[in-house]
Amino acid sequence: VTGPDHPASAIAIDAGDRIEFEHHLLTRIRQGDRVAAEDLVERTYAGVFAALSRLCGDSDLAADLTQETYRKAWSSLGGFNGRAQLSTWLYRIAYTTFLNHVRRPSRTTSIDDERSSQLHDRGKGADELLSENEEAARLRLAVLALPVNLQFVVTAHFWAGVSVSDLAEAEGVSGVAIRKRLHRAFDLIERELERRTTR
Amino acid sequence: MKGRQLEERLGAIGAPPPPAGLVQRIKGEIPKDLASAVEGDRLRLRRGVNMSLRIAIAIVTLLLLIWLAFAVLDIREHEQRPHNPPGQGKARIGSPSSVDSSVSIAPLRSFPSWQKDDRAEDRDIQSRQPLEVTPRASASLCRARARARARLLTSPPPLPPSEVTDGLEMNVEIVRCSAYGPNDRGGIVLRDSLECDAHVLGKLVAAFPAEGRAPGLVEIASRTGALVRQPFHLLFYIGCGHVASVSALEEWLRQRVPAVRAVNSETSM
Repeated sequence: VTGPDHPASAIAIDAGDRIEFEHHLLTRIRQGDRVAAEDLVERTYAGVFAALSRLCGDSDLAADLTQETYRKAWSSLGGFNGRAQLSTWLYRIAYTTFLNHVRRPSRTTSIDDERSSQLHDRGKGADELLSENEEAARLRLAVLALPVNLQFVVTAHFWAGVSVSDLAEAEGVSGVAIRKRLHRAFDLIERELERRTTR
Repeated sequence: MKGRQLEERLGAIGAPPPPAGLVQRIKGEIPKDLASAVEGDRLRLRRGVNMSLRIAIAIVTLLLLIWLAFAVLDIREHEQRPHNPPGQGKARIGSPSSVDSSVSIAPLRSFPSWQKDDRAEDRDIQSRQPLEVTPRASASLCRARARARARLLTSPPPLPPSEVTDGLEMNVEIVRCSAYGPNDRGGIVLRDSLECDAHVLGKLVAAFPAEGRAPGLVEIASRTGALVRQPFHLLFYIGCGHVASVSALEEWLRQRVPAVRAVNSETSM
């Protein structure tokens, strides 16, 4: 498993022949093999947690949402047709879980709460950490201000490590279309960052 | 450049390590009977789809049966309707207050040039297109009818006083069943008693005093698609001038349009 410190491959399963491996794993899980299910969890939970943590900026909440993501995954594994990769499918569930949580009025956590951002690198100075943290928080808020389709593409690619080709396959569009979405998202993020800076 | 910087900044956003025990909590929530939990969802989905399909099929079947019932009723009603002989239809001719309907009508003697051309073209239309009631008239008939109708809707030049004769002028629009088109008046609903018989929707053109226009044009309105309860089609009879009686009109129509069984007409003056 690539750790959360390597966002470019956060949820990706480290296997030589990934497609065959995923197929094999899914077959075993569908047959009721708990060991295979535990194997899947061990290989993917850190990536799911990291992506959710970047999305919501709160590790406790991210942990809860990770648990909920896997709960949903077990119940909807029967409907997984294998068109998308398992990691992409898992991130889609995680992202939907996050959106449901944010949209639920009673349980909404303010994404503007910059105190929720945590300091991770203990080796840096307090000012530097605060500055980095603030910048990350601003960037996160700018990403969360994107339209949902662009937001999904950006967060899946940069925070969950889903490749462009996997995203294209999962979304049923071409890789060029995904790259266009990313460029459009960058424009919007820059505009949002400028707006927040001038405010 | 900015995009690359943004990519780097996005990729550099760190995430905390997962809390201890998270993996155990997730593993603890794996269903005991994993196979049935996974398959159960699929079965529920399949059941839902099957149920929806059954409901859809039932609705389609019901609609089909209703449609068939209406169609059968229509056919029976049509077969049982008596064939009215000429002159026995519910004919009624209205006449303007300025014209006495009992006045005998002089035969047509002469026509202005524009009317002669119309008659020639009308004859041409009738000779080209057999007067059968078909669901869709040919394109040529449509074009000819459109031309004729446009000509009728435009006011002809007034006749000189010497050519104005006493007589009864009618502009009759005879409609079998219903007609819904841009130029037709709507409001005739299904199961309307009028719908089963010929009726008048309205006059097409204003009557011109003693224009001396002979019966010349029967139109089959091809734009009316046959609806469920619409076994017949739409006929226009336009520009009947100097018709001695309704029976004469009926006879005239009957000779040319075999599908006309009864002429229940009203006239607009």
